[in-house]
Amino acid sequence: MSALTSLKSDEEIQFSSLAKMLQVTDGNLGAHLLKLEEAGYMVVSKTFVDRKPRTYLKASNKGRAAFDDHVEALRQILGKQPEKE
Amino acid sequence: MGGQIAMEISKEEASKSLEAIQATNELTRMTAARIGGPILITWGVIWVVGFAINQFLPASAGLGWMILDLLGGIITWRISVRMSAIKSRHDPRVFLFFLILMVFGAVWAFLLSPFNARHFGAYIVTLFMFAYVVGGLWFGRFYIILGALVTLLVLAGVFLAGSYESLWLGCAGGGSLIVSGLYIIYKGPRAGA
Repeated sequence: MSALTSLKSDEEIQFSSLAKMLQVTDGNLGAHLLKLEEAGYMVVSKTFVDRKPRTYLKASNKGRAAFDDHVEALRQILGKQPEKE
Repeated sequence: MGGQIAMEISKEEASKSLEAIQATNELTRMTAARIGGPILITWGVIWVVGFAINQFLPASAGLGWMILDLLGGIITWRISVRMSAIKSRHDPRVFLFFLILMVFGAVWAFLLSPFNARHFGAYIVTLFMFAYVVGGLWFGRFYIILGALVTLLVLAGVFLAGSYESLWLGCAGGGSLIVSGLYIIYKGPRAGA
């Protein structure tokens, strides 16, 4: 989720690139992302490049808001001031 | 995710989580920059070949550069389509990038003028290197350092290489791009930032 929210709202990351970057298997990442998608935190889009399917992922607004809350909660535990927008 | 976790995890765990989030954010941006490797190598080879034509077959330089630039554009486009990890629909920075590049190109030409055909090659290379410096503001300091370094090498060649200026531009400019591209590819995503 951190990788997805670090992108701008109009940016999407390729599934295979994300798996390679995080050094996880496609199956492992797929299972993790399915939960995020079911929660409405992530949007999946599929396209074809050179007749091969390609999957792109992006964080939804709901996902970004939830992740911001999560980070804010972590910062509060450490006694840090809220991050400015 | 949410405020409930404040009661469930320790300060140490929270600190580690924030560090992991920060590291992942950086890794994501660096992965986006990694596409620069093969593109740098492509243009490095094109510059080496193009400036070699300038040096040894000056009569064919115009046609040679036209074919090489067209080839470079097609290869860059193919690499972008096939290898790009991150897709962006609308990015106003692209417009800003070309606007800055055009202004720099005009100012740089004014400052250097009048220049002969031989020096025109140096002008083009330094213009491209300025593009790397501007791009580096978004893609990482690696590109800023690369752009500045090659510009210095090119300027040194203009003053010191004499009649071998084209050869110098090919080796210094093209060679630097090839080595940098290989560095990004073999050092992994972190090398690009």
